[in-house]
Amino acid sequence: MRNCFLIITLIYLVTGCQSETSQAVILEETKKEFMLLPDSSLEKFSSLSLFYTRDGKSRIVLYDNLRHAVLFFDETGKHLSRVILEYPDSIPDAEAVPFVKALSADSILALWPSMRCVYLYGRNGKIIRKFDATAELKDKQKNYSLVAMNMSPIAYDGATIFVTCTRLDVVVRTKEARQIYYSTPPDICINLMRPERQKNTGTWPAEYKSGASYRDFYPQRCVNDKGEIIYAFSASDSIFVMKDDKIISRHFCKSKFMTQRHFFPDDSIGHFSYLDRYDVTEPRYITIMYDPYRKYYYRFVTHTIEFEKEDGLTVNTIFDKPWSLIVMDKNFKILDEIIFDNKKFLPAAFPVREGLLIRKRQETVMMPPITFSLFKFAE
Amino acid sequence: MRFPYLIFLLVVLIACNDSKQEIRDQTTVVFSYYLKTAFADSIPDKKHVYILIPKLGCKGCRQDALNELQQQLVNSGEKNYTYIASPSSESTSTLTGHGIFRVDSTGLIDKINLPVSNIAILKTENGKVISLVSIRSETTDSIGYYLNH
Repeated sequence: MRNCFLIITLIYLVTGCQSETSQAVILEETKKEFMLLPDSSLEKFSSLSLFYTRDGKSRIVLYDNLRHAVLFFDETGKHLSRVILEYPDSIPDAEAVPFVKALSADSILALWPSMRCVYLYGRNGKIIRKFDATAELKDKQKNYSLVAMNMSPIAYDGATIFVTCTRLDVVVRTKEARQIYYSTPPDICINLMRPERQKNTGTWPAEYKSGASYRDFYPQRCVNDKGEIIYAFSASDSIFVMKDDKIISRHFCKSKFMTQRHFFPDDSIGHFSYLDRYDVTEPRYITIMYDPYRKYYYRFVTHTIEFEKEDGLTVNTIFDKPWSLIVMDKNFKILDEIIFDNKKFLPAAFPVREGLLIRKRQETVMMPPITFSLFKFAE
Repeated sequence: MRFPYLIFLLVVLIACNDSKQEIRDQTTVVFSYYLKTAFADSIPDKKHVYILIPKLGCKGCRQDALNELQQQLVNSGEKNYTYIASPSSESTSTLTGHGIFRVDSTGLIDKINLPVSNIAILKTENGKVISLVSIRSETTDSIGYYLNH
C-alpha cells in the first residue's frame, strides 16, 4: 500500500515537471521579406536598432556613416525620414561616427566616441540638450568614459537612460585588475528630466567578479514594460532584473547549447590569432531583448564550433557559428529554444506586431544590403 | 649507462624537428592554396619574402610594424618582396619601396588557416615556406632579425 502511494506520487511529480518545462513555441518563416533602401547608395551603416512609437508601432533606425544621417523606416522597410546630425563643437574628427539611440522620431540620443556626455537631438538634427555624466563611480572616482555598441546599446526606461561606463584607470590584463573593474557597477543612469539625478548602477555576475577573464567587459540589457532593466552577460547563464538600483530577481536561463566555457589566458592578451580562435570556438550569449507585443524575452546564443574548417586550408569566423534563440515568458521561464539556419540568418532580430524580423545574412555584416525576413508565431 | 639517455634525447630532438617540418609543410600547403586561389599564382623557387597584412590586429601596432619593416627593407637592400593586404586593412596607404603590392580583393587572406595578425613575415624558398612570424607590438624591434635569419 505504501509502495503504491510512493509510485503514484513519483508519477505525479514526473508528469508535473514535464508540463512545467516544455511549451513549444512555433516560429514560422513567412514569405514576407524586405530590404532597407534597395535603390540607395548607402555604403556603410551603424546603430541598427528599433524603437516603439506611443501608438505601439515599430520603427527601424540606422545611422548612415558616410552622410552622417539618422534614417527612419517603418516595420515594412518603407523609408520615412532622414535627420542629419549637427556635429558638436568638441568633436574634431569629421569622420567620427556616434552611437545613436532614437527615443522617437523627434528625439534622438547620440553618444560620440570618447565622450562623457550624451547629446539629445531634435527632428531638425540640431542639439537640444547635452547630458554630462558627472556621477562618481562606487569607489568615488570619476576616471571613466561612456561607451555604447549594438551588444550594449543605450537603454531607456521612459525617464532614465542607461549607458555603459568603462573605467580608464584599470587595464584589464590581470585577475586583480579585473576584480577592480567588475567591482564597479557597469552603467551610469541619467534622468533626462532632472539630469543631476544620476548614479553608477547595474551589476556583474559572480563568475566575473572573481576576476576570471571571458573577454566580456560590457553588459547586455533591455527594458521591459514596467521600466525594469534586465541585465545579461555573454558568459553567464544568469539574468538579473533591476529596478531603482536594486536587484529584484535573478533567473537561471541556460541554453541547451551552452557547452563548457573557458577562461581567456592572460598570457595571450594581445595575441590576435589566438583571440580570433577563442571568439570562434567559445559559446556565447550575445543579446537579450524584450518583446512588448508578446511579453517575451529573447536571448541569442552562438554555439561552439571548430576553428579550422574540414579542408584544413581555411578557418571559420564568428559568422559561421550556429545560433539559437531562447524564448522566455514574462517570468523568464524558458518556453523553447529555436535553432536558425546560420547560413541564411544572422542572430539579430526585431520584435514587431506581426512577429519577429530576423536579419538575413550577407557577405559583409556592416555593409548593405540590409534585408529582413518576417517570422510569425503560430497560434 | 648514459647511452639510453642519449638515445632518448636523440629521439626527442628528431621528433621536435619532424614536428617543425610538419608545420612548415602544412604552412606550404595552405599558402600555396592561398596564392593559387586569390592570385592564380604559386610560391616561387627563388627566395622571396611575403608581408601579409590581414584585417586582424591592432591598427597602431600594425602601423608601427610597417614603418619599422620598411626601414629594415631599405637597409637590407632586399627587393624580392611582396605585400599582400586585406581589403579591410587601413594601414596600406603609406607603403613605399621596391616590392610588389597586392590587395587581396577576395578577402581570403582573412580566412586562411595561418596564424597571421597585425603583419606577418612569411619567407619562401624552392617553392616552400621556410618561416612565418606574426609581429606583435613586443616584437616590432625584432623585425630586422626575422628578415635576415
